[in-house]
Amino acid sequence: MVEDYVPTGIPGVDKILADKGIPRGHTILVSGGPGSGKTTFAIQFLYIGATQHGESGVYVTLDEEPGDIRKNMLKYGWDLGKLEDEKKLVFINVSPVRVAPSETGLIQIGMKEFRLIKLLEAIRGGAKEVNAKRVVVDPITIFTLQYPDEVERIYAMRDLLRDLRQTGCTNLMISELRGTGWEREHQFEEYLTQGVILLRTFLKDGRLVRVFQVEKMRGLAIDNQPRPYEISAKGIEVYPSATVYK
Amino acid sequence: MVSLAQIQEVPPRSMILLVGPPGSGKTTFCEQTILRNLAIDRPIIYVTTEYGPSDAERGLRERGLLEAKPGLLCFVDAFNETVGVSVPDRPDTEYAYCNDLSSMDIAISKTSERMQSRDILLVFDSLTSPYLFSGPEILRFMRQTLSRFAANGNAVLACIDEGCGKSEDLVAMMSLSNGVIKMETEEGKQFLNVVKHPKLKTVRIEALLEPEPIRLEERVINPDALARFLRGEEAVVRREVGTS
Repeated sequence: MVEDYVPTGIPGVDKILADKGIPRGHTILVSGGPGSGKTTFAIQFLYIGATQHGESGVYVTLDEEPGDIRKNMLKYGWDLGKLEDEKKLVFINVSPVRVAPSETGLIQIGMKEFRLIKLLEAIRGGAKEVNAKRVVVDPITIFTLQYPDEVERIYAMRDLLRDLRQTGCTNLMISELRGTGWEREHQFEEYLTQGVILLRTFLKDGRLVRVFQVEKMRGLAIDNQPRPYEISAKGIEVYPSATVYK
Repeated sequence: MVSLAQIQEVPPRSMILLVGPPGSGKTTFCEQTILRNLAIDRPIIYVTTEYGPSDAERGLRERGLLEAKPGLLCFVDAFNETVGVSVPDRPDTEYAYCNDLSSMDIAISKTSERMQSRDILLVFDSLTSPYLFSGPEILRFMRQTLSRFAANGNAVLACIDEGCGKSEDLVAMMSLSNGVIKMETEEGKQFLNVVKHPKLKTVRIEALLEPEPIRLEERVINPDALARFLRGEEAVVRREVGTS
């Protein structure tokens, strides 16, 4: 049984998570469309963990360059370089799918097992290096692209989840949400992870409306209603008692 | 005999709907209510959808407000950003879009959190534009945002233009409210018709709302024109001058 909870510290989110947080050791899928603030959400989780709860973090990036993330997050006042110097945060840059410049159009696939092992080794190594309690893998979508066969993809994801659980860390896996508006496809990762957080954006009368929803959080009696959120100069802020209107 | 002062008290844990045709004096009634309640140090959230906080403040000053105690009067400006006017940030104001009910919900909850008090009087002038944009969804907003705000130990006074939409929507708005006050004019006389009220018995009184008429018309914007403007059908918001 889970007895311990990891507060996200993101304004409004813990209130939705039964005033507790994410059950410690669980792996949560954070899914959102482009520009919905997935990376901001994940970094905010690690930054608050490191600065307010004494919990170091690992950020595994499979897409964006760590340098770009460091630069982008300065606009919220989050100095990630400083956290790295203090051994409270480590970036791991793993890109399994990459187009080599000399071989235009060629995507490296075919060394799947090696890549999965490499990813897990990197996470374990990084977690050990800073004694991490929080891990983010961003985005998991690219990792799954390596496995065109769905059965293989599910097995690979289960392996990844099992190994992540063994680290004892609390993990966020970021994925890209397919489908627009309220209509969307359910992704198989949602069934495998212990929690699902959705960050969605809608256009209403030409204005962007952001909607946060905890769809699933095993071990917690959560508020699973959609709630409005904003991305302000301080990062993500969810309004747990506000209502989403059509 | 029920007095105007009693009607403008707005009892805690209630939502009063103020119904009247355009130009009947709803804004004036709101301003008087705000002044009366500020005088007894009751905190006020003034939500405006047809004019901004500086106009609202000017209106209150013309009615005798010298200086509100710091933190006692806060604004939710659902006008300026909606019509695309950029204004300098005011520390006493949260901004919202009157075509986005969620943004108004957020602005109201942010403001009440900042005021950190109970028994806030929220004055909403008016529901007309949000209703024109969002249709019957406004009923959910009244229930889930305004009624809930009232149920938390506060009070709400909200205005709606009579005849701005479907009559069944107006009936629904009235049944959602704990109290309904209708503003009526008859042979040049103004009447307040208390149709339903949690504290007072139903009564119709003649009320001289404007001892010294001020040029309110200048800042009343025709909601239809505003709606057309926001849908991109009209280039400029036409200012209605000289409504009845």
